[in-house]
Amino acid sequence: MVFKPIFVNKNTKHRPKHTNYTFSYVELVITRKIQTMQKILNYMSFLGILFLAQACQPPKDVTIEKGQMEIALPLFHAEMSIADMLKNTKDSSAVKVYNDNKISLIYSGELVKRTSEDILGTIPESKFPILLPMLDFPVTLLNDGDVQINEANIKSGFIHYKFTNNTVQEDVTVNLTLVQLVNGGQAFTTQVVIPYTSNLPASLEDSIDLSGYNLDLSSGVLSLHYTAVSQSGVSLELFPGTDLEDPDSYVQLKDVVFEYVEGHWDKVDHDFEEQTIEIDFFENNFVNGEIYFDDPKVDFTILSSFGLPVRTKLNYFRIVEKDSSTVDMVSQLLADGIDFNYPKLNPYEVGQSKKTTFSFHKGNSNIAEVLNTNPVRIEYDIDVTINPDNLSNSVGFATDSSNFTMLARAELPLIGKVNQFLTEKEFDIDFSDQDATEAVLKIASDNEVPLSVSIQLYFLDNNGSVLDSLNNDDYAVILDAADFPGPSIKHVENEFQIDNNKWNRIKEAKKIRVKGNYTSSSDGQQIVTFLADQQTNLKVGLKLKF
Amino acid sequence: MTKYFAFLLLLTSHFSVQAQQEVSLPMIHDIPNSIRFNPAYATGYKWTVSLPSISTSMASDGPSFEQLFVDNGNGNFTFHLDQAIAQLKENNLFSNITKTELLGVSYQRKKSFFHFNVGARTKIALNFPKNLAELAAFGNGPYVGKTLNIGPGLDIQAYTEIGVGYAHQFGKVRVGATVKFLNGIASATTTKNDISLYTNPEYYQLTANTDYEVRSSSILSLDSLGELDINTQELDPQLALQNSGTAFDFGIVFQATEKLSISASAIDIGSIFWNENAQTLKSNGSFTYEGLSANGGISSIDSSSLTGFVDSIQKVFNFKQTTGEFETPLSRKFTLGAEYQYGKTKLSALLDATSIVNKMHPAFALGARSYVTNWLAIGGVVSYKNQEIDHLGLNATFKLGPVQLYLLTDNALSYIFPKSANDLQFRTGLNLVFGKANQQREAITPYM
Repeated sequence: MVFKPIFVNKNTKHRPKHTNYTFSYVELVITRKIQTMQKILNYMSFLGILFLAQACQPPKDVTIEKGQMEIALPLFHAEMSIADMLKNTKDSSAVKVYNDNKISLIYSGELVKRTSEDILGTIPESKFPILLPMLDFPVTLLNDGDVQINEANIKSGFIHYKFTNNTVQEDVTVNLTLVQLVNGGQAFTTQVVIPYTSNLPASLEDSIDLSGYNLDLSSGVLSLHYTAVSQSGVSLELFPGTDLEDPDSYVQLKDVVFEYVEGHWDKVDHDFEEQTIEIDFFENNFVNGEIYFDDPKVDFTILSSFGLPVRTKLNYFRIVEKDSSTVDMVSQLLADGIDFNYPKLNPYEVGQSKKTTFSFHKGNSNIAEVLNTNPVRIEYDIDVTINPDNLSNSVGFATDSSNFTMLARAELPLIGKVNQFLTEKEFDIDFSDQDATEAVLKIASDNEVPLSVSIQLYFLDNNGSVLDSLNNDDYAVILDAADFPGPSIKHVENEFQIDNNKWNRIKEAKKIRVKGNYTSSSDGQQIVTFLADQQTNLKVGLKLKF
Repeated sequence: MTKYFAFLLLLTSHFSVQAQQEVSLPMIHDIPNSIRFNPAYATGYKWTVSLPSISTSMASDGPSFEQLFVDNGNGNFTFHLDQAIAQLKENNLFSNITKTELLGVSYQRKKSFFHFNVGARTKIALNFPKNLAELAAFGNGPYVGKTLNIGPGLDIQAYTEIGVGYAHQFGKVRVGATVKFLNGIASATTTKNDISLYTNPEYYQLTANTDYEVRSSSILSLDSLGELDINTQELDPQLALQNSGTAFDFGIVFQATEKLSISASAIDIGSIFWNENAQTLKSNGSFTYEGLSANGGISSIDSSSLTGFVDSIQKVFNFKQTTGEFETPLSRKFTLGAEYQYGKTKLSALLDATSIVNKMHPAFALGARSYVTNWLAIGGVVSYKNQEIDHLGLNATFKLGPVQLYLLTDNALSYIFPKSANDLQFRTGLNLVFGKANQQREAITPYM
């Protein structure tokens, strides 16, 4: 086997040319070269190991100094109008916005309602006498003589009769007519036969529906005419007999319900229970200070579909303050009473409701003064009198659906001034699991409302003891009152620093007490108008340091 | 977050290689693998067979180990995060490029030169702004009223390549080209990476301005920014066949004089089309988070609002995901070189520009190399990369018969002073070389 030299033969001074070498020689050369390479590689490996050892020497312990992290985030923003804010309160008031954007708080009392049954009473069966054997019976129905019915429409009811033949042993035909009971222009008339079987007395008892009949009692009597004739032509008289509990013969109106009654009502009083209007605006929010409503009022609205003259009488109208003290309202209306509007017979207004409104305002009462005493409730007692002037010839009407409703509501227009009006609320909180060490609370606002708001937050422990407050000094103005009449917008930014010591105290808190202080423009000395489209944009952010 | 960031800093500092460009091999033409940097290079051998070889380059222009850690002695170190971040540049690049060559063959016949190679490449490059590190480490609190530019750039590609090349000698000029057939394994690449975050001092409203787009494919998926999933279970050889591409290398060598040659090349001119699990995460616009809306009153804020709070924060950047094929270019490289034979020593110069994370990174190197024996050549390289010139490379080529073993590094100092090093680069491989080319490149193997 022949190899060409590929390495310089160190034993020669020159490079061999085309010299043949034996395998052992080549092997020797290669072996030497490999040995040399191995030495170099070993050296390099040694150096490499040293370098790598230095490079890759794992630290025994590494302490990381992280420094402080701060996260700043916007929490929320609330862009609201006054109307929005009022609607979102848990107050019982309604918010009324007028076309000119003026706003009123409306506190409504309960709806008082009286029906025909309340006013007229029920019509017991005993009011209708046994008609037989009388022919013309003077009638006075309803309320023991207070009401004289002239005309009535029967909604439902029956005429019930019982006829007994004690004398003839044959069938008897009875013809019965009630002149004042008319349907379609025809008086009520009917014919029945008392059948004779084999024994006397022979009786017949039945009822006839009177729905749709009119009862004309303008003459003051109810006239019954009857004839009783046997088959052989013998005329009979029908007698009740001696047992008035179970008479032998009678005719009686039964279960009669009128749908319309026309007649005369004597003067009569109806007493209503005391009514209240809760004004929880002050109950919920008020702590101290002054809020002045420029033109508060209390409106009464009465609807009546009775065709009767009615007059109200306010026995009292008073304001109850938070400390339960009362202030009476003074008004000539209280003394005079108010006559209701009511539907008339002429022109024919049966079925209509007539509305009567009246108000207590600063023009006819001292209500502005009494309502600006920060009331929590209005109490009033009202009675009504039917035919208050007791006119003997008055004729009125009532239907089965006639009613009378009365609603009172207090309206507090948001026109006025607010001076150091203080509110206070408490909420549960728990910051104990927060990792932050310090915090910055940022509150910014843009305000178009002529009302400034200052707040102070107190952090309380379980016992209600104050651990710390948000603002070290005092209340912080978070909303600055816009200039009135405007338009105006005020921007305010507040930054509340909460250092580690304060934060540690706050973390112990279980409750937070939020105190608000409200003052209208010009330090509460100027009467301002709060409008529905005035906006407030409250923006809150938080920076936490960990 | 801080831990992750500290880890990243540690990683980037300890394996820092100023730039990822490999500058030694392109200046050593008798190593057959050098033709990957210029297909017009000639190996000087008639036949060469490249056995498996590997090259890896890690780079970071971040702080070094000793800049981050204070040695307390006895193996105890303290890592000061604030000091570490202070060392960062406005934009910081970390990259790792690994090239594995499985097989290469070349054949010189007269004026023609044929070559073929099979290999795989991975590139991981992350460009993170200093502001992003500051935000991660300190939060946005210290930067209220300032705009932070925090968009990270990402360039991850893994693919296989099969290259077939040809070079021809035209007088003093030799030109060559290689066509490479590419199959993508994984990709995650940002095409736009502008994200800014502004914290308004009014009440800390967050405003993000974004023009950001990141594309991922195959086993990599990005559900949202910062959530890069690697689904290795889906790694299937079939994957690569669905992400195909083509690239070209072009090169030219001009033999100006007997001793001086000048060369130029354009490498990796091409792209890969990604189909498998291809998706794009995009955010473009301006988004402001102003906190929970409490227009229904403050009392309307409840626990469900807090859920909305978290969602809203995530939506500040308003990323939208779409699916569909996309194309990624390779990291293009352009070189300009010169070589001068001075006695037994070969002097070389190289100017390199390589695209990493949508940006060209220049490098410049000067080298000298000599066969100290007929079986050992050693050389040194000084290079300028990423605005620093403290790179001293060393290389050695051993030749035992047809067996050629080489060891190269662009920065030997990183092995000597690893704590202060900023980069790491290493290449080693084994070739079989046969015969001597009969023309032109004799000078490169003067001691054969």
